[in-house]
Amino acid sequence: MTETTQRPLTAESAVAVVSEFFARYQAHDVDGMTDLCSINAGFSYVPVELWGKQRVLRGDGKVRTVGKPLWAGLIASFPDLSLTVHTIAGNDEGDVVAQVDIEGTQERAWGLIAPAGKHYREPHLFIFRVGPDLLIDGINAYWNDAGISQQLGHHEVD
Amino acid sequence: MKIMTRIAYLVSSARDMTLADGSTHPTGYFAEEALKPYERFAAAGFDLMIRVGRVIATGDVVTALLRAEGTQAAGYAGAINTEKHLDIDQAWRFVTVGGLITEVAAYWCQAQLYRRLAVKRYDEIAIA
Repeated sequence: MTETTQRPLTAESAVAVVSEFFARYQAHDVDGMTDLCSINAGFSYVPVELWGKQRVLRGDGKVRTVGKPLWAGLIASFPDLSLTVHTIAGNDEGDVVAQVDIEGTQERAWGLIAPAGKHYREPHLFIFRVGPDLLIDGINAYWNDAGISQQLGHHEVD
Repeated sequence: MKIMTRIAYLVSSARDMTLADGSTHPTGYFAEEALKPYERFAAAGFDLMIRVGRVIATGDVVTALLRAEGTQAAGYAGAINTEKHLDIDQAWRFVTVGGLITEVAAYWCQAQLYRRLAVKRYDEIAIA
């Protein structure tokens, strides 16, 4: 886990933590991303859901058990994965909201999408909660998964 | 078929909002402002519920996390009406300047929406 600093939680320090998170994401440093999160940090990638016959698997849980495998899997499937942070804003309570485009070229299967060498770029909205120890306590993200599927040539909803 | 109306209104009790420069701007609503759209929705047999889970203020940016629920009563986004129920979690990002909204960006997953409306393919949306 990353050594915590003595800096107080402010809008500026919270934004700095999240900016570092995206820098590590850009560097494909999944362990480093996870190190910026508290041990029990919550995670919710809202569009992630796989409908099976018996149940629906969702992208909800903890950073370490759900988020980390999703990040690693995405990078493995899109080895040139890249981020563009457009806006990032925080408050003194540790809330940080960021508009980020994520793009990449598919080389391996991603979910139900077979690789066809296609490129996608999709806007995302991330909502972080940074704690008083300047570790990320929660991550929520929203985007349009249909946009990604169609850009990758996958026209089936499931 | 007559669909019973369900309407959820969320109104803030805040009397002022703090802007990025630290100044406050008065806010609020009149009862009549909430009543008029209610009467119109009710008259139309509308079935839509919006529940706001969180509202996050970060300077001049306000982000609302909400869930929209409803039962389809007509064709929507190319999908024919099969009277399916949908629930879609969304995030709306507002930029406010001087107490007015100057920018809105809404994020939701169209795949989730089509999945709930029984659409099978993005290139054949009208075929359920």
